[in-house]
Amino acid sequence: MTQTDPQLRRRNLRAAWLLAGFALFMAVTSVPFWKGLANLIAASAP
Amino acid sequence: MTATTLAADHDHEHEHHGAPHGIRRWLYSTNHKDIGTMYLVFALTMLFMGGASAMLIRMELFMPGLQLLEPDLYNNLVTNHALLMIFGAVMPAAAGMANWMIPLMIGAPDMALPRMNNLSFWILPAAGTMLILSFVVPFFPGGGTQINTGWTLYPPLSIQVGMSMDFLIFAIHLLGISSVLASINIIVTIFNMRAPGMKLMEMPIFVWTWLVTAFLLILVVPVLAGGVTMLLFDRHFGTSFFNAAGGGDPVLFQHLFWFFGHPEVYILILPSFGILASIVPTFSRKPLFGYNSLVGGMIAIMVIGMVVWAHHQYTIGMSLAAVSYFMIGTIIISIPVGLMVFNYMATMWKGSMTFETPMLFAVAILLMFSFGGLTGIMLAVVPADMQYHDSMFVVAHFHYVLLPGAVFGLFAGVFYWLPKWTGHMYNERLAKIFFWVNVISFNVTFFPQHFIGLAGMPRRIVDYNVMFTEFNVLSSVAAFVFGLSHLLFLYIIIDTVRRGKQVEAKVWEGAKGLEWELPSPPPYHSWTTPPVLAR
Repeated sequence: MTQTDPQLRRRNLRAAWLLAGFALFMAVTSVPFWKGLANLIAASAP
Repeated sequence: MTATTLAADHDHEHEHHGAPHGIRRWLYSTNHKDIGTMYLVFALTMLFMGGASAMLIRMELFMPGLQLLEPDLYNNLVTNHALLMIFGAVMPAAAGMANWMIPLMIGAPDMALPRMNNLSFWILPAAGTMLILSFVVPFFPGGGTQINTGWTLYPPLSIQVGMSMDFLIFAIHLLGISSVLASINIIVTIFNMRAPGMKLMEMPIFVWTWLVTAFLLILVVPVLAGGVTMLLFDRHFGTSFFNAAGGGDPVLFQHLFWFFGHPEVYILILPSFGILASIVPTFSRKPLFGYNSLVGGMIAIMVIGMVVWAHHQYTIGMSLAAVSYFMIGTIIISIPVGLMVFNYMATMWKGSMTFETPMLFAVAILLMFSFGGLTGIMLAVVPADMQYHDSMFVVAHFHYVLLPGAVFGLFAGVFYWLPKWTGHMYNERLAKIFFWVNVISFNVTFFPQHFIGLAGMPRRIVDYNVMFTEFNVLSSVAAFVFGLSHLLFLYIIIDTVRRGKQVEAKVWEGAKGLEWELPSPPPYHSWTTPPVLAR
């Protein structure tokens, strides 16, 4: 493995955690959000 | 500055240690080239497995009536074919190309998070095993019923299927984790590891396509994971997310699935379009036309592609306002997609074109993908879709989109970069034979399916009316030729690695970019000193 500058390594890890948090946010919010949206669409059906 | 050249030397001499030997090289690898190779080998294996299931499907459909397969097994094969091809073959192949090429193209020594890169890959064989187990478990005593839902896994059927569905849900979780980890790595690499002075708007388009694809994956894969987790809870823990009897709604799963499923089409296509952005200028000997509009186009595809998912669900009974919105949105998305196609055509315009195999694939992709796009506009129109829904017309449409748009793009990429990866030139004559056999048999397989679909033959049905026999015979015969032609593809790759003629650093005369400044094959550790870009 090639050596990475410690500062760059910290930046990389920080960005990775941020993106992982975002992915987790998408997973967790998907349940209530889509449940509400599906109900809304179902309610508007003729 | 996609035509970046080097002003200063790059340090192949700097390579202080080479590749480790034996199984450790692959098992513990943190090297982007080795991991890229493993992704590509895995994808090729899955391509053959998914292809075998497709050939079994076409064998059954060769004639009307039940010939070889029980209906449940047929549906199981349909499910597995899609899942193996999408999650096992195309996505890992594109990830393999990303691993190989992104660091070389942006002047980075490796991916930003090499250990996580190793993890992203090694989750895949485990996930692939779970996926295959979901197919075979029902054949063992007590294995339950077969998965007969198709890749869409709609409840209530998916709640009633036996334990094989649990294997499949677990496989999807693993595949999702692998994809998200790989996407995080790609985004961080692109943002943080570019050569000094390389701005985002100077990156090769292939890198841009992967940046957009990686963001799409992070946005939509967790939603699928949420959906299948809810499915798992409905199956085993007494919840009623999708069970109408318990106050749930099976249509909710469709929304969750297609919020992932529609952007997934762009996830499959965009990396291949990025490959075309490298190939077309090289063999037209002209700079890429409309760099800025290509970047804008793919960002538009990402944004619009995420808000049109319900065009897959027109028949569920939505309000007029909802279907109108999804119809208009879907038709609008053809604008940025068309823009990308026209940019490649404009790049070819008045160029000194030659037609080596990658370029042949590029031209074929533009023609056939555009055809798939046109039938897509037909399907986007609500009253028309009500007629075409769940017919073989849809099968023909998405194979015209996904085979040229994704798979042929990957083939083009393999022929374009194989000499760079291996240091050996492939056999051009054999590659052209592969191209012609592949493209002709693909068209003969899927073109007739438009007609039988319009005439009323439903999809995902093991038997059919005798009036559809002729076109199905034609489709099946061509499908066997198409399937077998991939053995030639495999032979060409093995032949290239073993006996191919040695090539220089710049394999193609018209090629531009950092990757061509490195020797072929590139050293095990490349760009250990960042390249200096010429302005």
